[in-house]
Amino acid sequence: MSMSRYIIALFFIMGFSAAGLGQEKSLEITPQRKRAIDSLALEKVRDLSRYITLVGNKSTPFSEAQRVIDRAVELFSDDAQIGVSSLNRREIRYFTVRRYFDHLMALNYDQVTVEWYNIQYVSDLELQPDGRYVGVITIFQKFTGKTNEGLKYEDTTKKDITIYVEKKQTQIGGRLVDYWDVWLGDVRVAHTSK
Amino acid sequence: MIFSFPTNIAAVLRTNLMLALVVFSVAMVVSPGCSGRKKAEQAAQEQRDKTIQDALSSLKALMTDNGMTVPQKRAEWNRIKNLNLNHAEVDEWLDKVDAFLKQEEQRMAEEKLESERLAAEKEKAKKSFQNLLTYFERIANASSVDDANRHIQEALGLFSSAQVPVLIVISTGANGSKDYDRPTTIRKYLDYIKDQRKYERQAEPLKLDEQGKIKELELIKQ
Repeated sequence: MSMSRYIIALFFIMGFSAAGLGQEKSLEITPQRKRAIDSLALEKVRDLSRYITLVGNKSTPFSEAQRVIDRAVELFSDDAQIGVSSLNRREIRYFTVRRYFDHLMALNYDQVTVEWYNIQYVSDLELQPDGRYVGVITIFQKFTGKTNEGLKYEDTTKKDITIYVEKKQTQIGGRLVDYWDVWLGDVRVAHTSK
Repeated sequence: MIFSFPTNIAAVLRTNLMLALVVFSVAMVVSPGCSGRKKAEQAAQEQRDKTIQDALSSLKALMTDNGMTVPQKRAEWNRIKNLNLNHAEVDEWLDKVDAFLKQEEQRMAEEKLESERLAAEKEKAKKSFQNLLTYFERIANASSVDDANRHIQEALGLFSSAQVPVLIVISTGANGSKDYDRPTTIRKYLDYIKDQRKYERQAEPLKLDEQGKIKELELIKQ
């Protein structure tokens, strides 16, 4: 290869590197924007918590529960799984989101309450090479199931939820709108206690 | 020896001399008056020329953005018109400026109408949002699912359709750029209020259709 070809190749490599850096820079966000996105992601988790409470509640009409499940599914990525643990067994079972909710609805208790608390980031949202932001939010879940016969099951589980954030674009009323899409990945069980 | 003219020659000379004296006297008396009138006429002409030049430059300036408002320009045009200068070029410019000002006056009238229409629309949108907020509150605080669903159906009546897009601003940058949450529809948002028992209380001015129904909603997260 002649010297001039080396120089041309070098320019191409430098050009691509600069373009990559430019893309990364354009995806960087201001602290104010970061706070807004952090807050939005936390809100999505709180929304999920409420959906779990509604579906778990035996007094929620079936049609309403189905609609709520649809809304909850929209919060997740397609392949996300939710871990379920029990004090009565060592293994942690993982369900797709819809199957998790179906399982929750079908629990053999007359009264179910699911409460999430201490919802906070354990791993800050970080920019990934693919342009998405990824972080982890941890929650504590208090589950209580009661039967009319007086049987009661109670546990507290710490769960880690992967959060994805990506800037996307859509067309609304003939104009392009940039938005931050926040969705949830796997909900993994960290530990369960009484 | 005494030299003497013949009598008739002397008389002629005397008569001519007298006539010359009269002519001279008249000339002496009349000449200054004639020159003054000329001067006055000249001054008047100069004044008229100046007035015409001033009028022309003023008329030309009226066609430019000279800092005057359109009503001020029209008043100046009237002043020049009332001078009745009867000058072809001035008349030509009066016509030109009149046509220009008529266009400007029409534009202003249209702008006024548009601004009044926008103000009325803004007021209508404000009332519409106040009305919508009442429904948000009722849905969030509904005593039962049925109660909430009834309020949702009523609230949907304010919208062009159940699929009206809802944008939620999560933050606004220093340059006014907005960050949005994932867009949703009004049907889903009303259900969200029912499920989550919370709602956004601020909005950008609503976009209404010809029937006064909301065709796009942009809420602002607190």
